[in-house]
Parts: sequence; structure tokens; C-alpha cells
Amino acid sequence: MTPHIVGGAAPSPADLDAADRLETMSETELARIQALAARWRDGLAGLIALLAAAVIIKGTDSVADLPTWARWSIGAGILASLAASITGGVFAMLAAYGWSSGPQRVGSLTDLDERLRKWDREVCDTAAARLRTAVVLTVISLGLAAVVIGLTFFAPVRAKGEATPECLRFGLASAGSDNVTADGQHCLCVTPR
Amino acid sequence: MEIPWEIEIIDRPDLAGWSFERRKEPPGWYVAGPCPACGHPVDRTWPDDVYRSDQLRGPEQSTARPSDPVEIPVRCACKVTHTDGAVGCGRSWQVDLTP
Repeated sequence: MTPHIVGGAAPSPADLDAADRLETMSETELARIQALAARWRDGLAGLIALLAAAVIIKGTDSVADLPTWARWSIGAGILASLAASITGGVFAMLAAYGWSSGPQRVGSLTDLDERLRKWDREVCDTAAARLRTAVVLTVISLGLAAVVIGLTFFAPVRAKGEATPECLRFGLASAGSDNVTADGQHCLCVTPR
Repeated sequence: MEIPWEIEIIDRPDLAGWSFERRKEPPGWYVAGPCPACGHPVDRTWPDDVYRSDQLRGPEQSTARPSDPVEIPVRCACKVTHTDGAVGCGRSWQVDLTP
């Protein structure tokens, strides 16, 4: 069939409104994606602040009694969570504000309209992809933060008296003395806390 | 003399002088021609897809193909002032496009 264009049946007011809305959505899609990314950026900034505040307020007391593996896991988890949050924030900012492309050659008027529309769509596609990356990183950051908090609550606490006692020796002990080492020396031992 | 502004939906207008083109970026249709009532130039874009801000993928996406016939409602949005505070001459109609 030959391509052709004809006047159709009278559209309903709802059809006209839908067409207007579609055109508005098409014209504003980049602005809407960028506004969405800006709100995600704010959320990520809040998450980073929350993590930092939790680390500062809780300090090292809450992990002092935990075994070494738990302390290392918590430290690595906090660092990874912060890294994910910061990277996600950078992606959200890139989605919201873009990045300077440098000067682009305009060229002739031929196809300029199409090329400009293509640029706009590419910016929109890139912004949406960056926003998706930012969201994934946010979820990863939240998951890591949850693991870290869980470890501070549920990791086994190191048993008291596990430390090696330190002993002062006072020379050879007489027979029947208390506090005698295995090699027969009189001593006073204390266990550090 | 310009016609007065009036809300009217035109049934099966004569679209002599209208043209259409397939756009690649963003993919969709572009139709343009003279308003069948006031004769001033009017155009309308009809994209194949559009970004939504609340949900990146909707469950109710259309299954229509770009090669399918498409009906495009058009409102006169000519740049000529037919009455203060309003865009176009107030007329609307529909373009039936068969690619």
C-alpha cells in the first residue's frame, strides 16, 4: 500500500488531551529524568550522612569487644558502603547535571534538526542509564550498611580473660611457696583487660 | 482576514498539502501541513516511545509496530494570534497516517 495521509474521524477530547500529554512528555523527558536523578542524589547524600553519623556516634566502643575477623569485616563493610554511596552519588549527579562534552561541531543546516534531536535523546538515554547505576549502587550501599549493623549486634563477643597473663618473676621460689612458675621461680601474674 | 478563534473538532478534514516523515531520533512520526480551518502551518510529533519519570518500564506498553497505521490527533497550534491568550485557531482534527 502506498504511504498516504488523510483526515480521520473527529477525535474525542480525551484523544486530543492524550496527544497533547504525549507531546509534552516527549519534550520534557530529559528534564524529568534529570529532576528524578537530582532527588536520588539528595537521598544518597542523606545516606552517606547517616552512615558517617552512625560511625562517629557509635565510635569504636561497640566493636572493641568483637573478635578480629568481625572488626575487619565491619571496617571493610563501612568502607565498601561509603564507596558505593559516593560512587552512586557521583552517578546521580552526572545523571542530573551531565558532563561537559566540549565544543561540538555544528556543521551545515542539513539534518541539523535531526542531529540536535539525536543529541537530546542520547543525553536522555545516558542520564537514565546513569540513574539506574546510581540506584543499584544505593541498594548495594544499603545492603552493606545493614550487614555492618548486623555484625555490631550479632557477632560473638570475645571471651574475657582470653588475653595472656603477664608475670613478674622474683627469682627462685622456696619449697611450698604459692605463685610458682613451671621453672620454679616465684612470680606475680596479672591479666591485662 | 483571520478566522475568529473557536473550539471545533473537524470530522474528516481535507489534508491537502500535508506531509509526514519518519524520524529516527527519537524514533517516531512527524506530520505537518496547513490547518484545515485557518490555513496556518501546524505540526505534530508522535514518538514511538517516551520516558516516564515514575517508573522506567510500564507494564502496559503498546505492541504496535512502527509500520502499523497510526492515528494522530492534532490541535491547531499556529503562531498566529486568533484571540488573546489562546494558541492557534481552536480547531482540532485527526490525521490518519498509513506508512
